[in-house]
Amino acid sequence: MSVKPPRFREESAFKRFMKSLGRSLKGSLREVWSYTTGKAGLTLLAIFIFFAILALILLPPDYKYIWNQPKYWQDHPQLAPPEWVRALGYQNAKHEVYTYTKPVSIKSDSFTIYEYIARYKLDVYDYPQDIVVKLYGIKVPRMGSTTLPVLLRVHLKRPDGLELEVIDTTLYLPENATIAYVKEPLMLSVDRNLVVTQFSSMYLNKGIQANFITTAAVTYLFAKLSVDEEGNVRTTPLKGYYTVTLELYYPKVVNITNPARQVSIVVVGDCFGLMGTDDRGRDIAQALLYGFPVALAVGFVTAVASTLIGLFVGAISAYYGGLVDEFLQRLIDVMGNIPLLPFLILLVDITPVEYRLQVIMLVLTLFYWGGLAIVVRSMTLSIKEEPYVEAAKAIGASNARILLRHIIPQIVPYAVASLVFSVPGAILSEAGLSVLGLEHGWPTWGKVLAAARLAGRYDAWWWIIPPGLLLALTSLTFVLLGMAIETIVEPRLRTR
Amino acid sequence: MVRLGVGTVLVRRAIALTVALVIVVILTAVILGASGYDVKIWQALIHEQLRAYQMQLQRSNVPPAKVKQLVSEYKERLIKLYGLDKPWYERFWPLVSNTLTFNLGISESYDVADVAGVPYPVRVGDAIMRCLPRTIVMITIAQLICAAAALYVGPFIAYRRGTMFDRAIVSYSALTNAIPVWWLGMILIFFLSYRAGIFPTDFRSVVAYINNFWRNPLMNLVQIFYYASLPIITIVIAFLGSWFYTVRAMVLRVVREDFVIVAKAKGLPERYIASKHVLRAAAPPVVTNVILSLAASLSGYIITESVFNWPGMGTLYWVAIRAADLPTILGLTYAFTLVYILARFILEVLYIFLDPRVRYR
Repeated sequence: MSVKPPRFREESAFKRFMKSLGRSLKGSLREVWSYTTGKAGLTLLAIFIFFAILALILLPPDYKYIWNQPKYWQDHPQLAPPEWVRALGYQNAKHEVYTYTKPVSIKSDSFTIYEYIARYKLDVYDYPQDIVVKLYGIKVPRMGSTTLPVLLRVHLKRPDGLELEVIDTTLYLPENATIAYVKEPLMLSVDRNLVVTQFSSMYLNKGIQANFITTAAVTYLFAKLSVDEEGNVRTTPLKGYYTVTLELYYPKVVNITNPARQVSIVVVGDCFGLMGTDDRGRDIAQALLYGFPVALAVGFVTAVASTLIGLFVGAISAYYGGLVDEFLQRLIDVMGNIPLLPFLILLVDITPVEYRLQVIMLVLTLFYWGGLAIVVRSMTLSIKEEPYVEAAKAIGASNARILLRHIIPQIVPYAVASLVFSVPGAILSEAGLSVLGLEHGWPTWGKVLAAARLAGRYDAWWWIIPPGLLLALTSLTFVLLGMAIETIVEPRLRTR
Repeated sequence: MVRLGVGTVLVRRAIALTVALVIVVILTAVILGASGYDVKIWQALIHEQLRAYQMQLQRSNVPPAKVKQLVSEYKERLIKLYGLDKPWYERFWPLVSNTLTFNLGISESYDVADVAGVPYPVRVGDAIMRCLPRTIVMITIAQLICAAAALYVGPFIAYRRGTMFDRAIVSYSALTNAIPVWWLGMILIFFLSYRAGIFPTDFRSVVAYINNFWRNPLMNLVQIFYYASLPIITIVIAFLGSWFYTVRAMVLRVVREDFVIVAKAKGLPERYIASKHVLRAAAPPVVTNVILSLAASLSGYIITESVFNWPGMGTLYWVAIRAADLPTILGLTYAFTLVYILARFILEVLYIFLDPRVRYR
């Protein structure tokens, strides 16, 4: 016989439950904090959560798409170490971005010429990788039904006085466009052929036949050149001040004060940002930041789901016994015999790319609960014989109530310890599968490592060390927390 | 409680394990079949053959109408040949039953033959037999080293619980437990192979020395040692900590048991307690750990092997998956599970000697 309490009491009971949960959470945290391992673990966890939130705030929601799009990374140096290596005395050319919202000077000739000027100092024995100009919202004039061409020229003045055309192009409004603005940012880099032609003719004028190659064009721009008898070009870096001038030539009839919303001149150096870049110029620091929320989500969702399954299956298996118990135990037995990693790889490989991360989480959830269920079962077997369970039965409490109110709360501390220990498992599995070469599209720590491995660049330390360290730190965080919680729930483990 | 004889217990375990083995193989086949994994591969193959056939017909001036008819007839023949006209469960049944009876069949993939290092086509059994020694040389040996060190040092640290040495070992195991072994491999390759130049950067060359081992055993042993040492060092560094921790925990659990305290209270010498009481009781879990780890090592570490480009069992499996080579995938899954299940059965037998409670169950 059971009496259903009135509704308002149920609500207050719920409130009381939440309050007690809050109190016990506070108490548990304080207890975990009292251990050295707990302190270290909680501090690290707080840092991880901070970075995860930071990533969610800083990075755009479609970052996954941006990461895989080469065009977003054109103005970044490729395979460049972090910027701070320069402070250690490494000879890596600086990466500089000069941004303007209005032209530096306006000249009037047969055209109106808008000029943007950047001064770059090459202070090490190294060559920058490129010069890129980025134009946002550039105005292309229209007269009636025809667009008037705009000339775009970039030239470079070197410390030795030599002046070279670097970019020379004409901008037209796209044919089917109706507005006189180019919406997409326009990105142009050094015209290799143009540079090589100028150098070749310069040497031909001196009567020297030299083999300039287009792939090395940017190197020639920043180098002292010498040509040997066979026509091979030798380069040594030319230190000093370089002036990059971007000129936009508008027909006189057009009357505008500012030709573009924003203009950037980028001297693409040989080092970048806090963490460097990969072989496609992608900022590794960004990917690592993005990896925080993904890793925590993958780890927590898998751990919570498998722990809940393990908790309930173990308790139900022991509480009901008989055929249910036999079936669940045999199921765990069979699952335990399945080679997990090969199976996981197989299942992920047959899944379409966009669902792979979810499949990893699902499969690991399905495989992880078995171990906990065995422990929970043995604990439930002994709890079930306690007098208070018998008393609850005698009062007429339902099986569900006995399980939820009297048995499971006793086991929860162990389950929490097991949960914390199992968080890194999924993160490391995801990373491992990525390194193996299974694509899932998300920029994760494993994915960064995978890119390094696929490119065969074990020598790019800034590419392989940080993601691995983050993976190791994540596991360490949860191992430390788990050790602290385990000491609390299993007092026999205490050293003092 | 019904008292069962040792024999009955063993037979029951053997049946349970065999059932688990069969279920795993069937499950793998079902996953491969129900997902249409193989169909895509076959269809690509048929498409290719049909195009070649059509070209050939056109070149020999067969009238277009006739060509169409011949091609569609050929297509039907091919579909029947590859069994695509039957539902997947009928196609897979022979594969499953053949696998279970060790008739592993022939691999259809060039990549699998390439990893095995033999000309195409290769029998799956041969490919496994080629790759197994390479995995043993790398992973099983590393695990043996770990096991030996842990068995030697583990009980020792358990007895010195709380000392600096003990704390150092526990910290080390927590640290290495956190580091993925394949990442450690990448880092060691970077520092020791590329920077310091002590170890090779290309590990695949080891194949030649293992394949031709008996021509010049001594020289080849030296070469294999040169190639295998960095992978072995990596695995030992990564797993030694957790080995220490596990053995320590197992011994600790026994040291706290009442019968050990009684033995101490009786005034028995420490050495005697250690060998007669503690080790005896700690043996079953420790032996379980050793045997299961060695069995698992035979399946290879897929990710670590791929980092070292080491053509062992793990690499074979990975290549088979990439090539969607059903016989090899099924054969390897079967082999992995079989080894594990055999190890568990051996343990059941060993328990009879190690744990008196089993005998009087």
